[in-house]
Amino acid sequence: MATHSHQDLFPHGLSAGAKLLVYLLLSIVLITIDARFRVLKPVRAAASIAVFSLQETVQKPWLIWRKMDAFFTRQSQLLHDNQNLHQQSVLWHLSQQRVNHLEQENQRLRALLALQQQHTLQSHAAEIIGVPRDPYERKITVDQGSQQGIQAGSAVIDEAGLIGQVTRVYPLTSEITLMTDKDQSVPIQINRTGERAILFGDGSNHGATLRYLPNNTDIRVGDLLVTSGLDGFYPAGLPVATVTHVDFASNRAFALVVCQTLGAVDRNRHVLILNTAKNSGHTH
Amino acid sequence: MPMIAPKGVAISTRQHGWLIATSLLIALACNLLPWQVDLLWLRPDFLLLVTLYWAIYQPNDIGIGSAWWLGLMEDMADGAHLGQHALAYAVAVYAITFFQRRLYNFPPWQQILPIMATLLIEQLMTVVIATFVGDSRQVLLYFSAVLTGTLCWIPIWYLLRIQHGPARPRQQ
Repeated sequence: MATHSHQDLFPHGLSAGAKLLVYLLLSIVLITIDARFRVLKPVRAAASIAVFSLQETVQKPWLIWRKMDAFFTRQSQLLHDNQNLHQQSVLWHLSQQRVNHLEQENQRLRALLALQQQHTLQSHAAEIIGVPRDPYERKITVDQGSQQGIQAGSAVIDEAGLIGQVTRVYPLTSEITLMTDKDQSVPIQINRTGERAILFGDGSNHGATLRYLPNNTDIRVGDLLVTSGLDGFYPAGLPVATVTHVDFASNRAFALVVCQTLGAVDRNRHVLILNTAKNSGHTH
Repeated sequence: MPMIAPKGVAISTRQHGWLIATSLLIALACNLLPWQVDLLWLRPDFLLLVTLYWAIYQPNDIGIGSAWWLGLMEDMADGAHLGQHALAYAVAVYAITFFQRRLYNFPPWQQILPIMATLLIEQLMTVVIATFVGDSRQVLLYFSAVLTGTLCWIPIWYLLRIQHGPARPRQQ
């Protein structure tokens, strides 16, 4: 009928419920693909470039303000800092000489023992440009990517200690999973005794736990944990965390050891990426 | 007798394409602003708030489909699981469509409670999805963003209303 030709049974297309159902199924498919198969890497890489440029534009005023703030620092402050740094440099120099000496001695000893030579570390300084809001993601984004030679799996440190590991590398940025992420684990050894264990992140800001240590382990509050270097990703001897709580309850199979990490991303904006990765695969 | 008779106030269908796109882009940029790590929990989801505004006032332009794509953009910006925020945004806009006619006529302070409920639905969806994928941590802290988001509704409403054109003739 010509007069009713415009009156369709479904004048507005799909109903809201049907639309929602379609998008629900689409989301489930997407989430499953992303979480299980990791085939969306190129999509993420392309999106990261767009997000990075937007992020840079947004953060520009903030960066300019920081630069201006730095420019107007007081003269006396600078003099004071300069003196302090000078003193520190003398001290560092002194310890550097000792380190040189020890390194040479160590090399001789290693050669004697015919051990594998430890190669020197290449490092890249990087600036943190983004922290996701998601509480499940203990991750940060930095402004160095595959263009600058960053490889997935590299260890990331700040001046206090280990922070985490590079897990995704994009052309201009890369994503670092902090070792406090609940999926992250670091092979460590207790500095005082040399006992090896594995440190697991617990998803909070600074917390991590040592699991699977028997109740008779010699570990005390205040012990320093350093990387053992056994996994081939983290170089040996980086400070990682200090023990803050030890509980040897006999009703548990293992001791409860809570630690606080030394490195922290909320303290400053700069990190150091150590190129130690031997392969460039996605690692956890 | 016509099969479909229009009911209630006619909703303005003027073209606001550029305004909608610009406001959404600015909202996404606001989500990318640098925040202190300790205060990160309080960061309201500006993109969702602006999306809800347009879902109320321009339902022909911003519906469930566009909300899904916007959520996908938020996923990419946030480094979250792809589809996590997309689904949550779609569900939130779906919830809004139920009350769209009523909300359209409400003053902004009366919209606060439905908006808060919608933000809560979105956060719940995100948490549920994250739990399905296998994460679970500090859930309660995460909901603090619902409160800050609600507080941001009125300023955002006025900001967009100024751009959106003269006020509609108010029903008595």
